[in-house]
Amino acid sequence: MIEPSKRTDLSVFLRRFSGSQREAYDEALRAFGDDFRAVETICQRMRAIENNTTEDSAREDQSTVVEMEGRRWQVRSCLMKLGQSEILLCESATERGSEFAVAERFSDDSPYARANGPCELLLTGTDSDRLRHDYVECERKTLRLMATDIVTQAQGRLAEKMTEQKLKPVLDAVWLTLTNDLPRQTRRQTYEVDSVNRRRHKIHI
Amino acid sequence: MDSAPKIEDPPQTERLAYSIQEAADMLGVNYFSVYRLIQRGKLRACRALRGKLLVPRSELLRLLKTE
Repeated sequence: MIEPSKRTDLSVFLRRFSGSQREAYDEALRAFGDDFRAVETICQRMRAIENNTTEDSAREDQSTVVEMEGRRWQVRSCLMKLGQSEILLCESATERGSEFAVAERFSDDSPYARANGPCELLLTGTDSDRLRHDYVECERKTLRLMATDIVTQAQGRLAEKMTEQKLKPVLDAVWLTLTNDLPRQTRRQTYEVDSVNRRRHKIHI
Repeated sequence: MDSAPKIEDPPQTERLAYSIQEAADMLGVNYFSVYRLIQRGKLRACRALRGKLLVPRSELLRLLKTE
């Protein structure tokens, strides 16, 4: 459960709000509660992966072998479960030693899996620790993209209730609540970094 | 006496774009996976007037290989 008022810098932020701004902030928390909880859960999982405390879910998949891009990979651990899919750390023996991969496994009966196969490579590398770190960084970028989208939806919902000037700090507080567990970046910084990355990697939004 | 004019159903128009959650439902994946596909550049998204992310129908059809 998110308790934003207990978070130090957010509570300082909220103290400056007028009654209508506080109402708007609370409305955003209610309307997008599921999204806030999803972001929080994924952030917690990322911390567990960083701290290497994902052992419990590893054992169930130890003997599983998956095939991706023409190669067989042995599942070493499940890094995260997402309802309809799970993120797996896999290993494959090569002539030069082991290669590791982070892959997403989808439900076999999902339309995406039927069209593209049940497993998809996300990242590969020869150092499993480095790979986990890179995976966490990638997921944090995705979390920021998701947070940006939630703030935008909150803006659409609240825009008619107050002026743009009054709404901006409310949206900043929503952003702060969503990204509290991520390395700090303002909304503007995230937008700028994303724009550069998208140009570099030819990602179109 | 003239018969009453028939009221025809409005033509069913296909949506041009879908929200992230709708796209996730159509692909059968979690909506965080859809954000991940966008972040990785595997799925092109566009923005609605107010900036909300939308997934074009053509992109979903491409991913599902039903174009």
